[in-house]
Amino acid sequence: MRQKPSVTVLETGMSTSRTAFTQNASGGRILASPLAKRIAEQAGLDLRGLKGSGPRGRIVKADLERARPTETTMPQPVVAPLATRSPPKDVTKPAPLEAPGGAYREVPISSVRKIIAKRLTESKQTIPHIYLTIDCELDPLLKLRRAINERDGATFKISVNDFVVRATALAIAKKPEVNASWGGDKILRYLDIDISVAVAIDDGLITPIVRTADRKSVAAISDEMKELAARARSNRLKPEEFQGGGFSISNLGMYGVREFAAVINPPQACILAIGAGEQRAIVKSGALTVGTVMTCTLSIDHRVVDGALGAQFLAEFKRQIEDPIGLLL
Amino acid sequence: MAASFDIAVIGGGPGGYVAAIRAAQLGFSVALIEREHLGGICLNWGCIPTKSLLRSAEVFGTLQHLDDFGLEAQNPAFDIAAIVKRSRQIAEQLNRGVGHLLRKNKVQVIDGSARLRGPGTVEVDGPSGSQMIQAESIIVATGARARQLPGLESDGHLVWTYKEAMMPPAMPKSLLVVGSGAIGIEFASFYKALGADVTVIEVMDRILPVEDEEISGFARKRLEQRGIAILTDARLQRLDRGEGHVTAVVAINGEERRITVDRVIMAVGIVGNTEGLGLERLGVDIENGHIVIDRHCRTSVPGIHAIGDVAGPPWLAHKASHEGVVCVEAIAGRDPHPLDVSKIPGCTYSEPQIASVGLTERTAREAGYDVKVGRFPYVGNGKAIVLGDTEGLIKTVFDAKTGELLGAHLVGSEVTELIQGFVIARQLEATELDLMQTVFPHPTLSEMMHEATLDAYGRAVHF
Repeated sequence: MRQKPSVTVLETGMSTSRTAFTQNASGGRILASPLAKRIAEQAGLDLRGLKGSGPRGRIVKADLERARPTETTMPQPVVAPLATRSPPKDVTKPAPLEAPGGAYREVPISSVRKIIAKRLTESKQTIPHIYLTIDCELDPLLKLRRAINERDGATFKISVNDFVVRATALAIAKKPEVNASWGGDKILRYLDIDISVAVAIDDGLITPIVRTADRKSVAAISDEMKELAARARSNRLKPEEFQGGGFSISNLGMYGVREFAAVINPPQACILAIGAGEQRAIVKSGALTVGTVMTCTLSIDHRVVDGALGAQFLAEFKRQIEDPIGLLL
Repeated sequence: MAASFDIAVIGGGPGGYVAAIRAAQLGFSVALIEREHLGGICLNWGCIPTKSLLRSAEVFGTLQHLDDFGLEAQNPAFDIAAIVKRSRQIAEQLNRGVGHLLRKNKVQVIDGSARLRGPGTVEVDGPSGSQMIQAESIIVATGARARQLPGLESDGHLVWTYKEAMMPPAMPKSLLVVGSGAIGIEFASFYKALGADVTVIEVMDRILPVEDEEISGFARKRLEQRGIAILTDARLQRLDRGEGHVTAVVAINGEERRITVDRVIMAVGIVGNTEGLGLERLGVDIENGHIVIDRHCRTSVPGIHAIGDVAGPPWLAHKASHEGVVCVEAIAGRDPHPLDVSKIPGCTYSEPQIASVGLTERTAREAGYDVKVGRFPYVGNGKAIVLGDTEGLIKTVFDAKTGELLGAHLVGSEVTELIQGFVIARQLEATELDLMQTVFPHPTLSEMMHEATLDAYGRAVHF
């Protein structure tokens, strides 16, 4: 522990965590010594449910040691003070380190990684995810894209992803209920169609936002995405450019991933995971043909969006992708 | 027909009489068997009378510095017989008090020496003959006595134990104290204050070996400033007893040294009074002169319990009393918290006083703790300056990780009264924040306890 700053950390840390750790379910006080409270806080132990051996059942240090028989009074493996001091609700807080199995070195955690760890752990632990998967035939879209990109004098290259963003925006316009957040005792339904698009950066990812995507052409979306992605990679996005958004897209198709299920990006309710467009055998009207197929999986917060609604949205998205002319209108 | 009780307590010292009273409070019928004086060594031949002697010495010491306070007195002098008499009167007064408390609680006191005949049966040899007592539970609280070294035994005349040392017929001109634990240092301090030439020898490399090294070093310096000669790493080889004087042969780092003094006080520890009770025959385990007990003071034989000095260290009256309560409550079927040695304070009433609780800085580090250490000197405290006692130090040892107060170590004026604040902190498992947030009254010596806590975190205000 560092000499002086630690005192500050400690003092500020105490008030929040004490409340969280020392109240029982009905909000009443848990009888525990100050030392027991602090040890519990540092170890991420919950005093609720522990039996105290002190006067009137007061929980004392010895009770915590009994509760953790493998640990002794000896100082435990050193964990960064900030991490151990953080409030108990912080789900990124590591459980007490288990002994590592082999040789290793410690890699410091970037602030981006901290945020990813915190938000996605929270997402997976608190959001009831459901997953819906649909196949979209891509050949008409690819043909259209080739035509646009190979036009004489074309100065830009539109990607499949640009079409996907546009198709998503138009599908949301038809099914606005998916553009929403869980608000505890209410649902927040967003009025603008702001789409967060995951971009891989060094040691992490970030989701720059294409705002009001339903009102932007594919070309405008394409330009904006290129510019946002470039600045994202050079770490020059402004906070408002990646904070917010009502719906996310994550595309791993360029890596050849066939399909995957993404973790919802809280507080949003949905994220659409896009796989690679690849040639597959398709059965159509009893005949086998070859076509390019893109598999998309929608992860849904079931508190906000039910399966049927999600399915309707996906069907609309598929329709948009498979009728690409509509995306240009 | 033997008298029958729920509980028979053997020994009426601070362990035994407290156990008897607690047992009576819980509704047991209780007999307490005492062969000599109610209150035991503590009250009659230990803690209390020595404190009376030291108080006389302290007042006499203050008389030497009256001018510091703007006072004057002619030829301050002392009367050793009157000093001893006062200590005996205080002991008697408290002894009567214990008798009164036992009567009030309807504890039957039986004079005599006890011997266990079998589980549940005690034979008492008293002034009016022998009688048998039946008791479901027997608590052995027979205490301890001064340890005698072979060939170096006390003789009651030239070579004393604590008992002769607290009733000197006359002041010795020179004195050798063998052993620098609390008892040895207190007698050295007393006799020095009254003008004797005092030498202390200690076999370890420092005095008060159980105390924090820094505190024991501080105390040594102060005692040496007072003119007490201190020899460490010194082993007593021989005592040549002459006419009215003794020559001690002491080995110091392989060299022999001869020290001739009027009297010698042997203060080399104590041994439990386990003999003559019939314990061995009943199969009670005894190790190194002490009865082996479990956390609830049960011996290896069901129905037989032991508390206090006879059951092992730390040899402290307050430890014995606490064990008495734990023992009786366990017999009553409660589940008392066993005594935690790290929460038992130790006090030495010399000039300067020494008091401590918990781990020393070294033992804490050896136990693997990352420690934060705080110190505050008496010279930075207003009340200490007012008292004219600016020689002292308060030291705190905290666990850097959890803020647990691992130990507190004090030397200086009135530290034996201060230490209980830290003991309560340890008992309640206070962290540094609780101590920091506690309001200490101004101006008091206790403010130094606050400052020593703040200092451990780099926040001391007044130094």
